[in-house]
Amino acid sequence: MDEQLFKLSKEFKFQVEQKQPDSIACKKLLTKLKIAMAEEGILFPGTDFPLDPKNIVFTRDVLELAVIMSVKLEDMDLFERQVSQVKPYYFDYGTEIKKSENELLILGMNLLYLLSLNRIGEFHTELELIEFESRSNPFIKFNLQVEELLLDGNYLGIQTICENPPSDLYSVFVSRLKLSIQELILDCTNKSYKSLDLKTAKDLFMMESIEEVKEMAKTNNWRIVDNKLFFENLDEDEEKIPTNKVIREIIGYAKELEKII
Amino acid sequence: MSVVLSTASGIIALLDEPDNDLKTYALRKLDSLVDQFWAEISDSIGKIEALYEDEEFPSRTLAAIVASKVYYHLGFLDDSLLFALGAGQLFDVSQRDEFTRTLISKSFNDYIEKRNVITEEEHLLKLKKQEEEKNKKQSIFNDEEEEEEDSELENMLIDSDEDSEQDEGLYETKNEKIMLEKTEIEEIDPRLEKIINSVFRRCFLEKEFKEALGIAIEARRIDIIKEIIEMVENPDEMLTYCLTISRKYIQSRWYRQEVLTMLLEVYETRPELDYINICDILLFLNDVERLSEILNDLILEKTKESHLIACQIGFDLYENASQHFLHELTLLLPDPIPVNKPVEKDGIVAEYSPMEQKRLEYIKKMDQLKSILSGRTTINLHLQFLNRNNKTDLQNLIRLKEKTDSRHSLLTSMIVMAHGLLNCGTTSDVFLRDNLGWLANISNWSKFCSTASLGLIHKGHLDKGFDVLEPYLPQGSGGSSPYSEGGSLYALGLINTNHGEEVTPFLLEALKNCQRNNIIQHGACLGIGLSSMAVGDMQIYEELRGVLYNDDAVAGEAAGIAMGLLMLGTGNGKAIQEMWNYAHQTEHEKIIRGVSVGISLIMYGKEQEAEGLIEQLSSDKDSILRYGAMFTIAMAYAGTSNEKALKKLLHVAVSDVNDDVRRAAVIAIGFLLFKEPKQVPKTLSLLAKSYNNSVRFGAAMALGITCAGTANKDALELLEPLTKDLNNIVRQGALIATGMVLMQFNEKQEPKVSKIKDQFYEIVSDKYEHKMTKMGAILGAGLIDAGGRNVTISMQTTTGENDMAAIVGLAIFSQYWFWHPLTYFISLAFQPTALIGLNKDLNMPKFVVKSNAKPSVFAYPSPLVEVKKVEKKVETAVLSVTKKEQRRQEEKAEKKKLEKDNSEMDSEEVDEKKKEENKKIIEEEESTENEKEKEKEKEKEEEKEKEEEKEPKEEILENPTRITLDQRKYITFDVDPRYKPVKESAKFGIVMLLDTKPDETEELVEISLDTTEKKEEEKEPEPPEPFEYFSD
Repeated sequence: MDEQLFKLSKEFKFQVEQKQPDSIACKKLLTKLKIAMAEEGILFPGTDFPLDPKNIVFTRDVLELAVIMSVKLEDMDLFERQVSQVKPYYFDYGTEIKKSENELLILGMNLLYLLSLNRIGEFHTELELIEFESRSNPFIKFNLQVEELLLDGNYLGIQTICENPPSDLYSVFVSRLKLSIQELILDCTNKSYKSLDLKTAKDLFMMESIEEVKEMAKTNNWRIVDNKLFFENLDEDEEKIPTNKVIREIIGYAKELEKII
Repeated sequence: MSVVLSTASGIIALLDEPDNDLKTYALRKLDSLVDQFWAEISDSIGKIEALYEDEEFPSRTLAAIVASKVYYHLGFLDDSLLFALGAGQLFDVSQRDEFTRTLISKSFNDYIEKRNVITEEEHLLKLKKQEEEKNKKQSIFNDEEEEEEDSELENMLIDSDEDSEQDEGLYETKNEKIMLEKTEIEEIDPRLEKIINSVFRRCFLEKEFKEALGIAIEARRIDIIKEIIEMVENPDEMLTYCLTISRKYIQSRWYRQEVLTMLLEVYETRPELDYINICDILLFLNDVERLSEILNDLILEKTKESHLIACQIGFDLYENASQHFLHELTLLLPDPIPVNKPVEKDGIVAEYSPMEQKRLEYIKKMDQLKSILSGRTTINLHLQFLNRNNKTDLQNLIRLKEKTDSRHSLLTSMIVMAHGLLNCGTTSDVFLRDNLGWLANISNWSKFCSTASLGLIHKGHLDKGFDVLEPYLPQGSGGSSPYSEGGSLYALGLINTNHGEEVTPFLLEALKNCQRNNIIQHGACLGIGLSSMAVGDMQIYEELRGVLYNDDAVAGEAAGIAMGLLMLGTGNGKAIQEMWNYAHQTEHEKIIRGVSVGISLIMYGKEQEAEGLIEQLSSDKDSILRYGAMFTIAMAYAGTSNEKALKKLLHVAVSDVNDDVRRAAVIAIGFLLFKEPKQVPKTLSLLAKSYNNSVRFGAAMALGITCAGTANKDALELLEPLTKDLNNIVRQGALIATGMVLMQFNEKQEPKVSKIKDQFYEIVSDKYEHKMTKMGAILGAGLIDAGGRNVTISMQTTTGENDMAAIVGLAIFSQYWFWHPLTYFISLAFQPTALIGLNKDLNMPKFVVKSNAKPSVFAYPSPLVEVKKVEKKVETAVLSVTKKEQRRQEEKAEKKKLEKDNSEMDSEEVDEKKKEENKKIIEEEESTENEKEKEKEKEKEEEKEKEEEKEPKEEILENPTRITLDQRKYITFDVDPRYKPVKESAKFGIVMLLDTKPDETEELVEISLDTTEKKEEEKEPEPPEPFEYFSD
């Protein structure tokens, strides 16, 4: 393999392992690396000739680093792309090389990412791809727990469990998850209450302070009167079920059917 | 280590990379994986498309080919092709994988479709420009004239005022369309053209010329067609191939003309001019002038062959060209100045100078050619052939006759009709003469029919026809019944079908002098229609119109049909307008029907031009006019297999509310598809199983007319259940159709022949069978052996052109449902299956051809000898009784005599003696008969054995001979030592022969047209056997 490639990968690794990686430099390096790998023919090599395990390990490591980089930079699009690029190295190319230590970490992050976006279907497809034994692994187990709680609607449980994520890298996703849960709750309260106490609201919305609640009220155009929160944008034009029309139509159909028979 | 990828998502993710190199890399990967992961890739097809559309992206073609493949897998071939075109070089035409092949065929389809649309548009534009130019010229010259012409044109418009307005509207929108397209004519994608061209090149490299030619013709690429013909090693073969397929398969008229013009050019550059094909093309292009020049040149040329070729062309022309065309051609041929007879000088017999001799020869040849073109020669030859080779099996008819109740006028007239069909063109009317007494009972319209049947028997007997009919023709002084007079006029028309210059005036006279007797009018109208078919003479037209306007149902119907026949294929707008108007005025259904059939005849062969009229008629609320619309489709698109028309017919066949219309629609399908008889059973198989009687009948009829004389297995399979249908009319139709399909087949070729003949007999003899079915059986029996077993029914000429008279004849024949005398029109479709060889003097020399098949395969169906025998046995049984009775009577008489003569003799003694002697005689007779029969049977068996043992594999046939449709491919001309045919492809019909030994004397086939009298002599009852006279 080219020395240039090694050099590049080392530099890339160095950059990524910084606490606050430089976004532009990292991305540039990554593109360079990928082009170099593509030229070398080790980026998604064809399946018709024997592959060198070394090359595969190398490419996989680079791509894993890229995933970690994307998490650190909090670039979700990049994250999604990088995960799908590295996945073949776990499932297809990876069948005959030593498993990567980071594999479950990355897959776990992907799961959490899907959960945070409420993409439950994809979450389960991904989960199926992971070996059953690995489910006890903390990276994966965490996601399983979160999913279960989410299903139960036990948002408080999620709150507590999220206080101890299995890896620091998870925090990005955890906070995203929280945000989406908040949205869910907001959606419900909006419809179930006419007004709420600010304090109760704070608890209900799992917010840190009342200030936060106030800010939220501002963005949503809710009024706050006497420490009370009023939800005024109750949609009146909420679509009612057009009972009469439906009944009439169904009876009509039944009559027609009878005529035909 | 090998790996199987389970997903392409990683690679797809690469497409989102900002860097172009990476995207290209990903695309390349995807291109190799697309066959496996197209489903996955299709999710992100948008990205790939975006890449293709991004003009800055370097590998756009790569994106295009990936997208194309994905769309191909998804089954969106249109999109796939679009992207493949964008892929440029990457779409490699020479690849043999499925993707490429599918797309190439798809691109051909698209290309052909677009080319067709574009060329049609261009053609329309061209026409429009021409018109504009004409108008300009006219307006420059004379404004008034233009106006006049316009008003004339308006008069000529087919449709009534309202509809012409509509039509104008249509034209306008069309023009607008053209204008629009003028600015933005949908050009063919040059990339598509490139691909097509590269495929053509590949075909050339691989020598698949015929395939390339076919595609080129379909795609309307005349340049390519020309290129191919010039490129091939054997251009003659390719030319002929091109000629046949372009004539058969090109539906658009003007395009066909263009191709043929191009072919003509090529033909003319060939070193050896193929006059026969050139003239064929000229005929199609309607180029009378050049045709006449060529014919004249051929005759002027010194070689013998050229003269023979001219004659051969003449015969072909007569067969294929319309009367009008032939007439013009004859006028254009030079009329040589006759040579003055050399003047005798000083008692010395002067001889012609060599110049004059040459001229004389030229005149002789020209006269010959003209008589060929007039058709007289052909008709005469066919008549001779039919007469000479007449193999009618009268026995069959006689036994049918015996089983029919003579009190039933319908069935007796059917027997006469069947006889007419059996002896069509053979001039043999023995049966009628033998049964004069029986015929005398026939009255009314049956009399009309039986008189008309004489016309059938003497069909084509141009010289003597008049004499034969003399006793029946109207004499002016009342004379015989109007029925026989009318029938004889009809018969005169049948005899002179398509050649009525001589009889038409007589018929017109008869029409005028009949004092409005509708029966005579009826016969005269039909006669005029037949004799002046497609002449388009306006005077005759007005005469017929007069009859129509009398509003008499019987005469009006015939007048309507006759007007159609007269104006056949002219598309005359005035005539259609008038007939259409009258159809709306009159209340007689018969007249409406006659008129609507007439209208359909006028639109014969007009194809798209008839579309407006068809639309108008088929939306009429009068079902009879809709019925006419169906026949108009049949006539306008006859033999074209036009898809649009076919769809319309199928639609009407299952949706119209009126049974007649539905039936007509199904029959019309037959007219459209007759050039591909194998297709018809498939198309009709469902209709033949319809719940509707009329549709089933129509299906049977359509099968009959398309598959006539082919013994098509599928057709017979469909017809067989119909002959046992629950409905008697359907049975009738199926029996007639089966008769038509099995024409000219013998038991050896098709075992069903004997079965169906037995079925005919059984039906006729079954007491409880409905008379309609019986009628079908009798007609079927007449058709199966029609024309002395020497004719077949065919709507195309021997060279594959539409035979106008035949098509029209069958169309009117199918009206027999309403009016039985129209059955005779089927004779127009009878085509003698003859091979007649002629020498340079148009005589038949002794000449032989070889048929490379066992003689028994194509032998005439064996005459009904066996049945005859059975009958004989029965007869003998009956005879012995009757004989005894006769004897007794004789005895009584004799007794009386004896008593008178020898009153002294003892009567008892005589009686005993007599009885003994009689017994002896009877016994002897019986025993000898039995012996004879046994001997005969033995002989037969021996013959059979012989046949089985020593049947030769080939047969030598003598001029003129019958050659059935199936037999044609077995014919070779290699046996005759002396004569060779001029046109090698001709294996039937009239063939001019080249004499290779012109110095030897020629042996000619004896021609004996007046055999009628001879036969009569032969048939005269034998003198009674010698008997002993007991005087004592």
